[in-house]
Amino acid sequence: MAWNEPGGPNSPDGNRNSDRGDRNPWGKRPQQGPPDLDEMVRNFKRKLGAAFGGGGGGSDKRDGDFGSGAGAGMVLGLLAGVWLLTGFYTVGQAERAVILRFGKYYETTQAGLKWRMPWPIDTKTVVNIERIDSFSDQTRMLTADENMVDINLAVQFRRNDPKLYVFNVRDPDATLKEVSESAIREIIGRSTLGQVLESGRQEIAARTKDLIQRTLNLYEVGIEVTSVNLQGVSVPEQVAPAQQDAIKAGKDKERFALEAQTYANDILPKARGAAAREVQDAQAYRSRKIADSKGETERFTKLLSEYERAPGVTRERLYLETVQNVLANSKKVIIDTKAGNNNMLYIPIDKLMEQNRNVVREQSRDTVTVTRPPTTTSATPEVTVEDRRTRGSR
Amino acid sequence: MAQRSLLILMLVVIGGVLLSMSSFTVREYDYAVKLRFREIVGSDYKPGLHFKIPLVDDVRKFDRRVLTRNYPAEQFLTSEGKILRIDFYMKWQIENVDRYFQASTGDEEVAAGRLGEIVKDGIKGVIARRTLQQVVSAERTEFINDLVKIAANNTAQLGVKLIDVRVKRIDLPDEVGESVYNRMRQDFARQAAQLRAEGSENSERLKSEADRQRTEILAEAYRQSEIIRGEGDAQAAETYAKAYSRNPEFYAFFRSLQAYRESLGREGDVLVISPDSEFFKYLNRPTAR
Repeated sequence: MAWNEPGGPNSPDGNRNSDRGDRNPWGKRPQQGPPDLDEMVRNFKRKLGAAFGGGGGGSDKRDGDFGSGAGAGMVLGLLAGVWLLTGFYTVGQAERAVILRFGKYYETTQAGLKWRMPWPIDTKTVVNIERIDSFSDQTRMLTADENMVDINLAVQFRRNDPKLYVFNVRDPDATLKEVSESAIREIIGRSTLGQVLESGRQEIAARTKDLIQRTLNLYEVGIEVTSVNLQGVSVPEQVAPAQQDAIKAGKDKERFALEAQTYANDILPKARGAAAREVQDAQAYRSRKIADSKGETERFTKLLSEYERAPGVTRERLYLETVQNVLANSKKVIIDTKAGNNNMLYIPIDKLMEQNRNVVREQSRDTVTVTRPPTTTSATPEVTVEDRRTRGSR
Repeated sequence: MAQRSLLILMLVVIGGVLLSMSSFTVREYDYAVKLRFREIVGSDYKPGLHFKIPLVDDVRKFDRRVLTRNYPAEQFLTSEGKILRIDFYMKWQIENVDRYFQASTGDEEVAAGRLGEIVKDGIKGVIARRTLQQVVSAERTEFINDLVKIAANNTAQLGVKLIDVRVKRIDLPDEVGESVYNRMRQDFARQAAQLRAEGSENSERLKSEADRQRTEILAEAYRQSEIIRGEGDAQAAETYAKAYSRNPEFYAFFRSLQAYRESLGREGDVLVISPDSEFFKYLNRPTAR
């Protein structure tokens, strides 16, 4: 009874389009596409006919009033025909059908309408080699430095080798999941938490993909991993606040540096400006000094040549002019020291100053005469206080 | 005629039944063992159609593919005495169906169970020689090579081949997990403190550097400007000296007058003067000299 159950207990799982429908010659193949509609109708009619024929054949044995040798032959022929027709099948554009003849690999067929020997001689398994399937997996795992990290891994794959996929590994899709889980754990287990969180996302994904593919190749699963993404990498929620703070600290660090840079950018140009001003000031000073010296010496030289022509007069004139100028601008207290030798002389300087202010206000032309204290016997000295405003008219 | 056709029909049916009873198919992913009165008479079957004697021969089929066995949450001790919960799987395959059938009576559960015990023992040994850290970051090859070596003897007896053993998960017991979280929190706190400290360090460094540069710039400018001023002074002095040395006596007189003019006789000054100076010569005696 071996071939009654091509599916058997060890049959491929539901992911494969196992050919169970063909076990029953009456059944329609679910894979059949629209192009076979006509055939299906015909098929159905034939099957109906065959059923009636078969039923007739059965009753024939008892009644003998229906059918004949030719009838029985026709029934057999019909049955055989129907049986042969069940060998038609279609393969989708992205699919490959693996055909086994008496369990031995016979061929792999491409897209289109095909025919194989009907069950139980040939069986077929259809594998879609183009469709990209994916699954994702969220797990918490240990890193090399004994920290925990939550990883959300998404793997996309396609079944690129239908023969290996069907023949080599029991439950290939589950195998892929196991391999992926193990691979990401191994890669994370060899990385530190810092590497996982900061730099290595792309790199870890690439290494994981590589490891998954190598392992699948070792088992010869017939699956190609098209991409591996680390969709989520995070620390466990118990630790998240602390990590957030560390991230914030990193930002703070950058901010400090930026602030310091701003400070530097502020004071340095100002300092350079001040320096430039200092140098310019100095140059201005130099120029002024030189110009001044030239001017003054020129003036002196000119005056000197005049002086040399008439030294006495010029000298006198210069002296008098200067003293006039000096005295004209000041208040004067003239004391005849020869008259009252060594006598105490009281001059209320502060009052003079005070008065000066008042006088300024009143615009008076007063002359204050200060008499000597009675102790003095000599001639009264004249103390003249002149308002400075009056000097112009003098 | 009806009888004859019925006969043909019956012959076909009987022939079909006999054929099915006396043949069996071996698929690409099958091993088959033919038993005659419970004795193995054939086991090396290629995929395809094969024959047997009905009722006398019995055919048992086994999976030729790579098989998987999962072991969730097994506990192991590391060399430093930490408990680990490890999920692992093993990939294995029947290699010698003859021996496999004898050793396990063809029961996959039994075979996998025995293999699993061997592997578990092996893992226990491997982990017991390593620290937690080594277990976590171990290269797979170190792991499996040890295991395969240990298991090789036994696997041959079972007629199976151990292809691979992989760790899917390594978990710490819950109470240890909490301490890991604590450590991680401390780690992050330390990191944060360090980052902030480094931030102030950088900031201080940058700022003080800027301050230094400012001071240097200003000092350099002062140096230059002093030199320039000195040049000015020197040149002026030279000019003055050249001119004034023509008549130092007159210069002294002239310069003194200038100085008097500049420094005396400011507004509000009060001068206390003796009238017997040169200036008042004629004030006292118009006929002086």
